Amino acid sequence: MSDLLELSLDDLSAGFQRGDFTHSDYLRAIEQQIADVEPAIHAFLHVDSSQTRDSARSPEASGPLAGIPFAAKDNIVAIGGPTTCASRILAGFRSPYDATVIQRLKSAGSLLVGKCNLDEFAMGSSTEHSAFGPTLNPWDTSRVAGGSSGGSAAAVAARMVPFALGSETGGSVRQPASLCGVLGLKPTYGRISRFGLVAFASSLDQIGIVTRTARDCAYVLSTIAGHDPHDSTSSTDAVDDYAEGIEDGVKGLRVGIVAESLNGLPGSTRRNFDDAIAVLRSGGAEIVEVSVPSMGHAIAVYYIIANAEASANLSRFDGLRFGHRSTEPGNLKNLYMASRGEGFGAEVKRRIMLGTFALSSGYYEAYYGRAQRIRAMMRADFAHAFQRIDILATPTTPSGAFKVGEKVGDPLEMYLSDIFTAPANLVGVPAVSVPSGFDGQGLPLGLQLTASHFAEKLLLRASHFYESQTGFYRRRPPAAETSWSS
Amino acid sequence: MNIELEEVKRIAELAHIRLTDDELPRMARELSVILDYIDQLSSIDSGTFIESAATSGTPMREDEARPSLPLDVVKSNAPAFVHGYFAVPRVIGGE
Repeated sequence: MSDLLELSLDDLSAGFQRGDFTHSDYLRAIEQQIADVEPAIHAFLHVDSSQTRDSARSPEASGPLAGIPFAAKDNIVAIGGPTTCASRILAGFRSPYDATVIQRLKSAGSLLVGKCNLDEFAMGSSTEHSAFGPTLNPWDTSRVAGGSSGGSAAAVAARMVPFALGSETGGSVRQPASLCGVLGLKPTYGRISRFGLVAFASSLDQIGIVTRTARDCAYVLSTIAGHDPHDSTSSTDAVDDYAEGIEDGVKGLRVGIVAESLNGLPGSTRRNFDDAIAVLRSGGAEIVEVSVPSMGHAIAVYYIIANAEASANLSRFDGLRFGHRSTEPGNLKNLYMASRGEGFGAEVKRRIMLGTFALSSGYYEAYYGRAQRIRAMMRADFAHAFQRIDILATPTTPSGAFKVGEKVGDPLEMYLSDIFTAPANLVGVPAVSVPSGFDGQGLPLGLQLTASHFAEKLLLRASHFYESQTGFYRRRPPAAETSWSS
Repeated sequence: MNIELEEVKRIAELAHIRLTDDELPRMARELSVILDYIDQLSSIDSGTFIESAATSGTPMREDEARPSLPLDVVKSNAPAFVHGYFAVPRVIGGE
């Protein structure tokens, strides 16, 4: 039975059709895996199997996602269960509607089995900022799963679901995907509707996808991408068939590397990256050195812009209309201040404070204004680079998963783990992290590929080539093994 | 950049977040460290670049009346709801 958990979406469709196993068989295997593995990982904040079990018997839809269970980060709303954003301030909140992505997946026959853990309001790189405790890494449960979509990445890595949705503001899908040894895609800004995604930083936020393989990711992206009248920032550009031509390889592709960004990397990360580049070269890709001078400023720019936008977006959590309301007596302003002071965790407070400071009178120009201009400079740098190259390659993270507690007391150190991922959000381009093997301690690392706006198809094609050459996605983390596993 | 305690209190007031006596000095320290890092941007010549939106243009739609959330759904999430309204402390004529 455990073999079912290793099957790709194509293999599952074929198996359902041939009658090798039923949708109910598959859902039972998934539920059993969650029951066995979840207690050691804490990938989920909420699991709901009762309603999915009924709909699994005979999905009405057909296609690669019909009857396929999935999980979603708990900042994406779905009818029927709680949406907490891993925050106390949303205690008791139940969404009256489905996010567009949830609704599209349900229409395709997919079954939402649970909501995944995250750093509170998606603010963090380890899920240690969840009000409900961290998600642990399936490769080593003394280490973090990354974040903020750590629950989504760990759930896929530990074979508890074949795919999961996350969200990205500065690397929150790619970084945990890399740390957990799975594939994470951040599509182009505007490619996927954000209706029903709780807003963090509206000029950066994008829903992302976690899978084991590029082809599985292509199926999910084809299903959820596209314009939505409920989200005016969603693009009206036509949606590709992302799986079409995915086997076409990398021959003739120009892959850029940025030499200055690789200085100072730990040796094992550097060797891992060089090996990955060698694989692309062996497939006929042309490796080109490029310079993206502004890339090194991404974290500083990111923490001004993201937090400025967060300070505005999170003003809606005021204890009046939903969520936590303080019982402390006092006037309206006291009620706001007490409800937010009690409801938000330390990292969320820190970021709202930083964003409020950057927008406040006397500091706006020196911080927010300047950060926006440097962001425009980064866009120009990337556009310039993409005239010479098709894909930009970097490591996804400077190192493998860190220990629980290692960085949580040092906010800046934590922020710097997003140094390779934040640029794509600031520039709005798509980027993917593909499992690229392991460091000296056996912890997964990731290869990050970035392309120009709306070039997801190219990214998934290159990812497919790389993963089929290396096969790292087949490796199963120790925590995913159960007593009856083969 | 060193952030003083008084400055933290001013920002917390603007942000509508009550910080405890323990939180205030820690926040001052942490914000100072983060702003020191961010101050690397002050040396960058961003030349002729100007602030711009993340996307090129926002598509418009017809401004049509559409149904809102049913009252009972709104009520079910509300911490205090009276006669079809969110109940809040007195705003006018209070203290």
